[in-house]
Amino acid sequence: MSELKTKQVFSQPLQADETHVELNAQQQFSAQQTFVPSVSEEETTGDVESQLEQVIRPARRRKWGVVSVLTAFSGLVVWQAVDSVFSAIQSADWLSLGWAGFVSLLAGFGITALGREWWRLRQLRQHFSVQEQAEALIEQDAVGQGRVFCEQIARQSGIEAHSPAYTRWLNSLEHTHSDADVLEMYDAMVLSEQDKQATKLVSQYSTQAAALVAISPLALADMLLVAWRNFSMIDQLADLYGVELGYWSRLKLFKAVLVNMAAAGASEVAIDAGMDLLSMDLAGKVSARAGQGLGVGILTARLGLKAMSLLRPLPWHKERAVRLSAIRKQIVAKVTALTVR
Amino acid sequence: MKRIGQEMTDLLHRGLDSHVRLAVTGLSRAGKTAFISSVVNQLLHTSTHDNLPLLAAARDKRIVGAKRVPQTNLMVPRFAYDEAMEQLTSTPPQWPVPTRDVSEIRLAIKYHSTRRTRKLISSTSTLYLDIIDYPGEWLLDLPLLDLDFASWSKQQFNALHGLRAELAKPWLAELDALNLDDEANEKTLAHIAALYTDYLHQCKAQGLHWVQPGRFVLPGELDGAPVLQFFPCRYLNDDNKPVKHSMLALLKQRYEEYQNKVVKAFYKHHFATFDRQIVLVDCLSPLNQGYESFMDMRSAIDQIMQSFRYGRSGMLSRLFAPKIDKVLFAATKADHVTPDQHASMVSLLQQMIHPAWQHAAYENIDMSCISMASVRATQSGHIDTPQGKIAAIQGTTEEGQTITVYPGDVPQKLPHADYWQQHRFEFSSFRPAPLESDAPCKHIRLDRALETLIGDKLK
Repeated sequence: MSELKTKQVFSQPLQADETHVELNAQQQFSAQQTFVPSVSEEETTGDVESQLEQVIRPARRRKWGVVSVLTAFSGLVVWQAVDSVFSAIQSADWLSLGWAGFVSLLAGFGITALGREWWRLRQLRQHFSVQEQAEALIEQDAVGQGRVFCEQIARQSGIEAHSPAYTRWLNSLEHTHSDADVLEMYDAMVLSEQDKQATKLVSQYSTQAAALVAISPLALADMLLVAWRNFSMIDQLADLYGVELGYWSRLKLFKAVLVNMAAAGASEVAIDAGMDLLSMDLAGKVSARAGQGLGVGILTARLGLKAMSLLRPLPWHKERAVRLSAIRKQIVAKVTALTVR
Repeated sequence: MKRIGQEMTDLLHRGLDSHVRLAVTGLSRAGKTAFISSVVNQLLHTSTHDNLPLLAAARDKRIVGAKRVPQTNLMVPRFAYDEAMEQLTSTPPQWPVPTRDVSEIRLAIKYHSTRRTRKLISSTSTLYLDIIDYPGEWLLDLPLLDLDFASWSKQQFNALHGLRAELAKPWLAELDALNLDDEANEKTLAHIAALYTDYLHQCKAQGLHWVQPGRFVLPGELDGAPVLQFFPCRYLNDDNKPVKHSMLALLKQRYEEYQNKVVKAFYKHHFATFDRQIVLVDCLSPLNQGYESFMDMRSAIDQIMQSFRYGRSGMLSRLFAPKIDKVLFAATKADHVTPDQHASMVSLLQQMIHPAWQHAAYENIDMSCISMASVRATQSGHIDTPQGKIAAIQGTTEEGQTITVYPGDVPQKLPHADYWQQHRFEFSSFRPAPLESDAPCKHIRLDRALETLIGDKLK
């Protein structure tokens, strides 16, 4: 135990802690690790973990085979291009040079589009890693990184530096707050504003979907309508939380949302499904279309909520998580207003 | 008639779950009075300041305001909040004087409820929070309720080793010279009791906490009363009856009187009806004093915890037999170390309260540990040195000297007893920081403590 540092009295003036330190997550984690009591002794960690909602994120895989084939291919293409340009110049074949220029211009557009896709996919992946970092910060109750982390999140999700919620959060911060405290305050003060808007969006879209299905006379049209509404809902949610989506990243996110819906906690499903079935059954008694509309509306709401939990930078705190029941009521009201006269 | 009406109102509040009695438990000097003053201060300021960001109801702006209301128990003095605040705001600021008697304060917290049933009744709901302050020494008497004179004596003599045996020498010498079967002589008894009291005082001065009976050290209104003139005796058997009118008979009689009239009355009036409990533990001063002091405090806390009733309380038990269903263990004086040491402090606290935790865990209640400071005394920051940044705190010590200091690491586990022979912990104690006028006092994680203790009642 002799490695404990002893008391030290200073004569220099005390400096307030700098706030704009670059976050060097990997390194600081390992430096902080010595201060964290091991998991088996800290009874409170179990508590914290159970308070966070579990989210399944897409796994990160490195496809070395694909990468190497692509590199070889693009290398060969570039070589071929350079070679053909050279031979065209040497043989003064201006027509083929023109064609080469035209084709490479087209290829340039394609490459930029691909690059943008790749960049956005990367951004989504980074977003998920931010969520994982947040979970780690909450679980290990250290000091000193929470503020920088949250400021970074705020920048990424496009929160204005002068918005009242953000300034309120900044003003309530103290040096003595642990990282978990800081994150909790950010979650409850700043992020809750975004959550409110997102919940509004979800309920708006799901009532719309419910209404569309309840009044549309054609089954195929229903499906198309619902798919369209759902995609545009996820787009809007991503926009709200400041996650930029491309084609592939959108698909990836949609897949992740579906996986999360399928693998939702058993208890959650039991309670929700019970209520859903009951309300659908009741509505079905009134009119079959109303029952279908209600079912689709609730499905859309669930999709939206899962998308929210994937798009938020921080994991849901159990107490503050938006519940389906809050949205269900609005859907029921809308559908009954439409069908029961 | 008025009294019955008052009690009916109380019963109604309890039935509606809008009344919480908070037990603030802790040994002497653990910071109970500072905690209560700070809680009252913070809650009174919720309407104007954003000072409790980790208390969900205050953060969501659901608390309308709070005020002090007259307590129902008119026989108990009111908690001296104004005096405590006066001391905190004086120049130089002082800690509130240690409690010498029981006192009580009642707060009414008005809030917007999120529950639909409550919202139906009225737009705002009120939570009544009763907080009771009492000297920590008296709390140590509660275990006496289960012990008779012989077993109490045995327990006291079993504890006589190490430092205690050294301190007890003058008292033991007189005690051994005394023949317990002699005709009772009040004067002799008073003399030996005074020596015993002296021994208890010295134990406290040396940083030992398990001091029984507590009224000997802090008699309150009982100063000099014969009921406080007894002491444990050696070699007692349960079966042999003391000779009539002997010294022993008188000692035994006084002990029983003490149990029934002093301890039981204290327990019945103030301790039987708690809903929530916070146990304040000062982990730093036993570290300053040594291994023995730490272990002594640990057993004292365990003993105290035995006297409370724990368990889940439903509607009926809340009305007629309240039980504590949430316990928060808090390491106080978190402002006396740098923020990076708070995690170690919590881990040390867990070791300190381990037996008590086991005791209460059986009842399946919510328990948690935090580090906090009710009234912040220091400012944290860092010092730039050639070796890099060093975390430091700045404050004014009790001697009036302003220092900037790295107070030293807090061990995550209690070091072995021989660690103290080479090293010393030197956690200095600080004066409270000066208050801005009309602002709540600064704190560390008091809001988190309140969230744990009454957060669910403010929904």
